[in-house]
Amino acid sequence: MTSTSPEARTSRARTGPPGERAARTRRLVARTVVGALLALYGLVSVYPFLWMVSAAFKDRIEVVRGGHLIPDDPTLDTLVDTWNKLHFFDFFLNSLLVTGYTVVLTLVIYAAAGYAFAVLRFPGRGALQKLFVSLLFVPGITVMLPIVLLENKMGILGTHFGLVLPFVNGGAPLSILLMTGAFMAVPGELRDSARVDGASELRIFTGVYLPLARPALITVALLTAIPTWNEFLLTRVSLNDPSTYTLPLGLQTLSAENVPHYNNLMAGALIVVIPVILLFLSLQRYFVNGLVGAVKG
Amino acid sequence: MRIPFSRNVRLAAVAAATALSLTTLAACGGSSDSGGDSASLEMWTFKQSHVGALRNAAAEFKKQTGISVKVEAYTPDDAYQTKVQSAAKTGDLPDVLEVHSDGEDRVFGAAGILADISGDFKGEWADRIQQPVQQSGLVTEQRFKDAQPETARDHGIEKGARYSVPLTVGTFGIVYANKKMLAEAGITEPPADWAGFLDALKATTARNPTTGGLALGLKIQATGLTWILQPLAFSQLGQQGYEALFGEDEGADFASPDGIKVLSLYDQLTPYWMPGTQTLTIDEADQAFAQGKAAFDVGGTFTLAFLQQNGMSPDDVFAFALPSLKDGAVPDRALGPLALTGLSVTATSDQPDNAKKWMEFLSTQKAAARFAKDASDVPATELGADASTVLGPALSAMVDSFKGTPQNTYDPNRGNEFRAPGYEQDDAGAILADLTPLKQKSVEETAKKLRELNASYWAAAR
Amino acid sequence: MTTVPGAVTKAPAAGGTRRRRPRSYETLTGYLFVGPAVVLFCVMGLYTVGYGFALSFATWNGFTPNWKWVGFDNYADLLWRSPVYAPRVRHATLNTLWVMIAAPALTVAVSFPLAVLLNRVRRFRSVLRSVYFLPYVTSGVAVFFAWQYILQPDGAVNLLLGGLGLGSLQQPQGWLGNPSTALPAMIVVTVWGQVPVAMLLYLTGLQGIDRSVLEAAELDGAGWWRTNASVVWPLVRPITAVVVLLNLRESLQGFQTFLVMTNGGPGDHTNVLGLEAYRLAFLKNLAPTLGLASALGWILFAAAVVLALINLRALRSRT
Repeated sequence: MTSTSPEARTSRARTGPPGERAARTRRLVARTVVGALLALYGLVSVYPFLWMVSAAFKDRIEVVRGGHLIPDDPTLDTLVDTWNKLHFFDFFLNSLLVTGYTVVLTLVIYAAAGYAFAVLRFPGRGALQKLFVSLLFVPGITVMLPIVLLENKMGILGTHFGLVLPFVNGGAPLSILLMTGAFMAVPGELRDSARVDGASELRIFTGVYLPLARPALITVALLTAIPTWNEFLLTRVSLNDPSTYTLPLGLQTLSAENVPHYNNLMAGALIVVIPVILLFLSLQRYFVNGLVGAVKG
Repeated sequence: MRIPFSRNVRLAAVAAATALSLTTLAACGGSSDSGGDSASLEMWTFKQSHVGALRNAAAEFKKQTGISVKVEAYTPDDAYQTKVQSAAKTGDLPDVLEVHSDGEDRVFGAAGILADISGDFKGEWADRIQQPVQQSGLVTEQRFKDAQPETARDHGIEKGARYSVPLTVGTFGIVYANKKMLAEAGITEPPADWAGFLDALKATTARNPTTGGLALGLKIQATGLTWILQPLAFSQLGQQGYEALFGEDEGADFASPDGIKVLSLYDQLTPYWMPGTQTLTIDEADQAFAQGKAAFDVGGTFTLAFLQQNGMSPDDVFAFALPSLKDGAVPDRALGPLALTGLSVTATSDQPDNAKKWMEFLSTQKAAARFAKDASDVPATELGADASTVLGPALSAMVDSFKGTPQNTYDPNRGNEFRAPGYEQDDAGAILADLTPLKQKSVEETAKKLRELNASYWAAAR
Repeated sequence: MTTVPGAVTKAPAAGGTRRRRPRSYETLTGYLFVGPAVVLFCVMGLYTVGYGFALSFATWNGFTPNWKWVGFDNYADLLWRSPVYAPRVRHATLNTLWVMIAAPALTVAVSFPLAVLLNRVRRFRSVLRSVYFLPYVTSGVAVFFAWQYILQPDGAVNLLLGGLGLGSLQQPQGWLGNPSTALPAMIVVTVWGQVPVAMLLYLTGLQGIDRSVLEAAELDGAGWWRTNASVVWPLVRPITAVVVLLNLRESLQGFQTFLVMTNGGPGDHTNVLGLEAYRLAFLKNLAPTLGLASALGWILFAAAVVLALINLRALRSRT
């Protein structure tokens, strides 16, 4: 639906033959400018990533030599070496578990909360909502230690579950903010007519609202999954048993030698990030089409 | 990353701290032998570069004693700190901790986390440790006195207690010069004094303006202060004059004529810094030097191994102590070695004797030599005749040449005696950076700022 | 319902026709729906937040068994009293203010047009979207090393300027080495990291806009510029509010980029409050400054809440 806007104008331009030529030129210029701008920012956006890729093909001496993008002497050794040291598959599953549970729980818990805040009336709603949003600004600097102490008491320290809970809780403000917003955009008449048909609240939520809020769900999923996938600090402090390590911890052991090798670091970061990129690419299809249905109702 | 080294300097400078008396097992005596054969120890370190070497040592230790040691590294600093904090609270501390020498060990000791091992560290074990650092980890008369104020970080330590045994040593203020670049500028030997150093810098930067300069990891704010300015001030003013710079007497502090003189000397380096050296960490600056982006590099004894790992042969460099001032108060200033990291037994270890056995094992010549090779670090153990083969000719010659007399040796370990409690070298370093290389402030303005900083620490201490 | 920005077009759907079931039923359902979130917060959040808050009234080095209660001393020390900490906080506040103003403004200025343009193109759209989203995906420590190399004296930015014949704009000390360019460079890197999420949120918002609204505007003869400026922009204002909110948090409390890339340098010209809090917590060689760090965190919390309220009010009043 989003791409139809230029077409609409095109058809309008065609109706007036005298201005057609000028309009076409204008369109061409506009299109070129737009294309150039988009490409330019694309370059800015992707350049540091390209540099990471290029560093993954340099040896450890060349990587610190300068800002040149094309390796003078490209080598696969760095990637192979990093891959061998990373034990990717050992840690991949752990990362996947932690991230997966975090995302699923986040979606379930905060979609429900967002629905309540956006649609249902109940006493204390405003205060609760303000509380959750203000949590966005709670200083993170001193929470790590109490989390560890608390989990130790609960007996979940060092488990994946012990990571998932704080991650989910930490995502509350943003997720609630986004889900509430998305549900508020759904026309109220839909709910009313569903109720006339005798649908329960849960049925309305799952059958009407959730499908319509798919883009928001995907957005929340992405914004939860990516930081969780990359999380290092709490994971490092919490986990003791190497069999529970996630990829970023595996990445750290790469620098177990005497000197940090930036080429290995970059190659490792690249390997860790590739699953995330794949995730994004596969999700963005839903992301595009998600709202088409919503608007048509 | 070598940040801990500079952190260590800061630790040494720190006046002492807080709280809590320690329930030390004053008479450990090493009598009770709980050593089960199938025992297993746990050890934590904050130095990623030590992990491999420690694991190798652990394998050997297991062979000899049947005791296995599990070595785990927690980096970066915030992860290590939180890990130790939470473990101390939950009773999950390992048996052995690697600590920053002379600072962290006493803070831990004061908090009751570490066991006092003064009863065990004697005789053969103590004799193996190099003479100048044997006192590291011990609560001496002076350290005990410094810890008396309640605001002291290690308030609560016990006189005569020993909370750590040195593992690695080194010193700062070593200048490395690229022989080839010097030769191109017509210089064939290391500069004899400060003036000669400046001449050499002038020659190399004239020869090549972008790559002929001086590299130093100024992103770690304190490096300029602790690695250059302080040894320089010591040479210019002598020990008393140098220490008075940090005192409350305005007639002798940084804004006094003496202080201005020292700052002006330091400012002489301004034209010669490598471009962008203020944005580099210690490792990055060393790497830049190894890449030929600078003709000189200031580091420590540990820098040589790092340069080697980055593809620079020791034969290609001159290494010398930061040059002294020919007409200064100490024209032949030497640099004293200091303990960088140590090993401690935690108070909650259920097999302290095995832990001590492990620490003692690491201090043996053979294990220390192996450790030195594996970690490219200088062990605290006196390596004796083996030193040159273990450390390599360049490093051992360098270590030898720094042995001075007590009168002419700049000892980076001293600090508590003359600085305000709570003094932060990073803050002073940031002010110095505005003088050079950033050229934001004049010598006089910098002097005034440093005086204000000093005053603020003295005021806060009251 | 107005405290939280909702997405797009429709006002809250509080219809008059829906008062069919008893109020208590809706109250109960409401509590059941927010229940899990509240329970989780009570389990994980209350203790940790309370712990941090209590700590801000104590001095502690993290290791001694007991905290020493000092009342409001930490706050007073940071804000005005301590000759050591207060000046540092003031200096860092100034730097933080710059980031706080520039980063959200630039993020919106880049990401909104980007989303609008992206919404318009047909070819390469999904490729471009992925490309624009990359910074968020790669936002680990590694990518900041990459930025350092780009900004250093012989890095890509200087090379590019040289290549364009703009040699006079080059920074011989590197962009992070010159005290007057270091902070702007850090702001650019911050914005670079924030644009992907902002753009994503704007895209979600744009897709939610009812076609008929745009068509009506076009029938009225509004051009592309005017449609976007006077129809689309107001409609996505709630999104803008979220974007500004997220940026605000990042500018006030974020420190990782600064820690990795400048460590507050050169000198202390890029020291920001988030970094200062981190220093107090972790880089004070075990001095008992954890309480100070926490207090600084809560001062930032208060500032952020006030600013967020102003932000929401400002954005609401114009709708």
